[in-house]
Amino acid sequence: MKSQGALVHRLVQVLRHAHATRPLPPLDSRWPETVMRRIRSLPEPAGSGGWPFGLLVWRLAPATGVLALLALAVLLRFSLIPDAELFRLWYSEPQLLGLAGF
Amino acid sequence: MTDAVADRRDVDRVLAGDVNAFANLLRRHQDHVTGIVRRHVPPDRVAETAQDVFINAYRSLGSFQEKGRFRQWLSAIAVRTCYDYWRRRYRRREVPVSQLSEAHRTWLEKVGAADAEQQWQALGNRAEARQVLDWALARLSAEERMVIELVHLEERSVREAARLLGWSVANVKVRAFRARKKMYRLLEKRLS
Repeated sequence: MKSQGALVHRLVQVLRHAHATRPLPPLDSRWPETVMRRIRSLPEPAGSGGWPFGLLVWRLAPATGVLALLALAVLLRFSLIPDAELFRLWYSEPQLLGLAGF
Repeated sequence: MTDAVADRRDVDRVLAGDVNAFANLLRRHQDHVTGIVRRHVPPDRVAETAQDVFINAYRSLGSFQEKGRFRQWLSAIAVRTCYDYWRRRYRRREVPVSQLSEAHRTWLEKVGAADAEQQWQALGNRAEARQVLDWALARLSAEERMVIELVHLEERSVREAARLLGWSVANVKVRAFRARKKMYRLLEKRLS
């Protein structure tokens, strides 16, 4: 009697063989021309000399987001945003700013 | 002229504006790309996905490094295009979740009873083997599917899978471990 683990291990081996021998459906003989037609309709690829701007934006996006949130927290915590301070004053003591009638 | 030198020359020609030089790259690497794609997407999607691989390669040709080998670079694009294919399908909930039939259960019993490697190979060649495999893979996420195919079914190293997918080695290790556990549990249930 084989153990369950050994049976699964063997099954995975069989499936590995099935995966490796997946059939390749024949490609249409005009397939390369179809690809080249689509390629010709695309704009020219950017040269390698340029700045990889798009790549850098996405790589730096998480760090930039965290820094922006930290900066916002510091600004709010130490009341460094005049508009936020003004809003807080108006909200808590509207008569001080003469805005009570609004 | 070696393929690597010819590839570099054709990449330079394309980047200089000679789009037709891309046909040489397409001809030289068509079999390699379809060989990768056929293992990761359904048979009726191979041509379309292989086409997307070459289009993605053309679009990002400028990022191909001088020191790199074009074939390796293209392999990574092929794997990522297949991963994108599955992500799209999972997002649209288009992954067919089939059930196993009596024929599959009989096949599983035969696998359990087989003793020689020759018998396993014969069983692996049958359509039921691919159907059981697809049944199990359909129950994994797109990430788990790609990792299990690369690391456990194709027996690539974690480092290579990480390079192909553009993920960190640690990420691949964790996902490979979880995916394997999930797949083994699924198969265990079917065998018992």
